[in-house]
Amino acid sequence: MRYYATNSHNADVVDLDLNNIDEVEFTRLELSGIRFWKANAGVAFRW
Amino acid sequence: MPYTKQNVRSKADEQLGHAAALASGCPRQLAGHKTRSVFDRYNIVSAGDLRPAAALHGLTGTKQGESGTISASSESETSQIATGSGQQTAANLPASQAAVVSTSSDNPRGWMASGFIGTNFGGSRKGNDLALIEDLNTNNSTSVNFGGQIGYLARGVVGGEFLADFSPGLGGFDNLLFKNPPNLNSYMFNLITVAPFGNADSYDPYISGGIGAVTLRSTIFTVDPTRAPNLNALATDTINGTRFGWNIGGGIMAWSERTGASAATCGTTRPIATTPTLSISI
Repeated sequence: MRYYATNSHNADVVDLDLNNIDEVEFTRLELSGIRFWKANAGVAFRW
Repeated sequence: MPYTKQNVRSKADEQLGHAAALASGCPRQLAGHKTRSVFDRYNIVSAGDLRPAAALHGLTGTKQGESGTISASSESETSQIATGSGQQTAANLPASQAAVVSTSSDNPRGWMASGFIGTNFGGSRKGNDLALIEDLNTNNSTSVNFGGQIGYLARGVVGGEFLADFSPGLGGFDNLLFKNPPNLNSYMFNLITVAPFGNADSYDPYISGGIGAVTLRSTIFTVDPTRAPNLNALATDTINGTRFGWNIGGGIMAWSERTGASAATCGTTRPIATTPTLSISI
């Protein structure tokens, strides 16, 4: 089980022109402040 | 050195460990340690210590090719026996000589590598509000993820790891501008600590956490798709982004050391230094 988070900033507000999307701004906003969990199982080797 | 209980036991471990190299005896049980890891912590064996043991087992002389006999006549080659760094550590040795290799100070919990697969869940967002453009399914969608890890544990209890996670088609962060669900990947450098217990089959509960980067890659519509009668006619662009992130997690690794090339010691088995061991980790 693992918890992930990305940082966010007060300046991360939606100010997109939907008639001409700024890809860089959109990506920055989309990655801002996201939180999610992951649950994994796997196989490991050690040496 | 003060004669504390710990120091006396540590010295006893060394001496008993050396005796074990000669006779494949049961030093851990004699020293009274319950677990393999504690015994290994104090069982310090130098290359010089192994020379008489190697000599007793007929490991002096020169390499003899297919016969598998190892030269222990020099410091460096004796070190190879001790650390398992040489190619001639185990494969061609009879069991009595392999025991010399496996009872050295080789760290049973050094490097490790793993692959894993699982799911993402519980996605949410903090700070800003993308409700104008974001589909509201961030809390009830899961998607598959997979990845890999490589790490090193010093003395089997603390170390570092690198985690790479890949989540293709992450539906949990859908957005009306996405032509397809994005790929969300993460690359984390963590500190890890484990609390091992067990012997031949050991268990390593662990916790790790650290910092790194979260990346997003997707194809998006460059204009609002809700205003277009035909989505196929809309212009698209591939976007890539990276943002600082952190993670914390834990689980348990269950190791089986009952691998094929192992040397019997006191009714249990220990792996030869170069033999990888298997773990199921959660």
